Amino acid sequence: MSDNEIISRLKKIVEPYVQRTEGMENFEEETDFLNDLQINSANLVDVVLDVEDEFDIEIDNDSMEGMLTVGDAKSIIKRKMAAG
Amino acid sequence: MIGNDIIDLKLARAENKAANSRYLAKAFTSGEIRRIGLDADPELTLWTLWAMKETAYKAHQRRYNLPRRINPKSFECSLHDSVQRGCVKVNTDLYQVCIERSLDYIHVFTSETSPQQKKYYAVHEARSEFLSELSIDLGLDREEISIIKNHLGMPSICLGLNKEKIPFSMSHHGDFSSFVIALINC
Repeated sequence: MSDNEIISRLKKIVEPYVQRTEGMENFEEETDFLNDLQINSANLVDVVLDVEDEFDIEIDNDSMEGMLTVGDAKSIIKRKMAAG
Repeated sequence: MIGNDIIDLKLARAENKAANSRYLAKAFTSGEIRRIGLDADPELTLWTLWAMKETAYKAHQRRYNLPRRINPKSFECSLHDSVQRGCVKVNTDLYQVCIERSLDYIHVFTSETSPQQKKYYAVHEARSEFLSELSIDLGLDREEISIIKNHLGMPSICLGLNKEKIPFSMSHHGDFSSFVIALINC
């Protein structure tokens, strides 16, 4: 799966939780889930669960700890898909 | 160390998290999950524990200047019987917290520094309302008070011409905003 496809799928996943919609206009690797999109921290756990479902992977606690930006999420998804 | 978190219960309850075992397993320890399951109002307990974790996370991050992390399971909560107090353990550190609950919100804040706290309901610009009220309380001009964040995103209140920095914590959820400040002279 290409980086672009992962990122466009991620964008659909996070959309329902985004409180700052301007942040979606430039959805790129540097986009920060908390600062740029103002996703509530409790909803970040929902994002992790939705990513697991969408990509059929399991995200362990250590990986979840570092999932702060779109780029972080993309790297974790790629790593888990390669391992699976 | 200062930290606080507010939960808008109308929003939170609508998420039905207590019935979501996958969510529980990612965010809560097995002891916490047991406690949530045994409670007559599992959603209320779940969100109380979540707010305790967030509060302790903010205090812990400030104490050690830690980079941000999503590690809710590293913060293990225990509630006292009265449910107005609790403590949160992370590694070898313990954070004591005060818990205020109403039908509409849960507010948790660290209790070590006897901080001043203010809550706002359905105030559009709660942050600027808070700063205006604080300036009156302290007898300063509104322009002399501002909020600054360091590179880790931790906020402080910046006071007066000499830019004295005071530890500060803010939280916002749904219709509620809350602010806690460690004021020494108040």
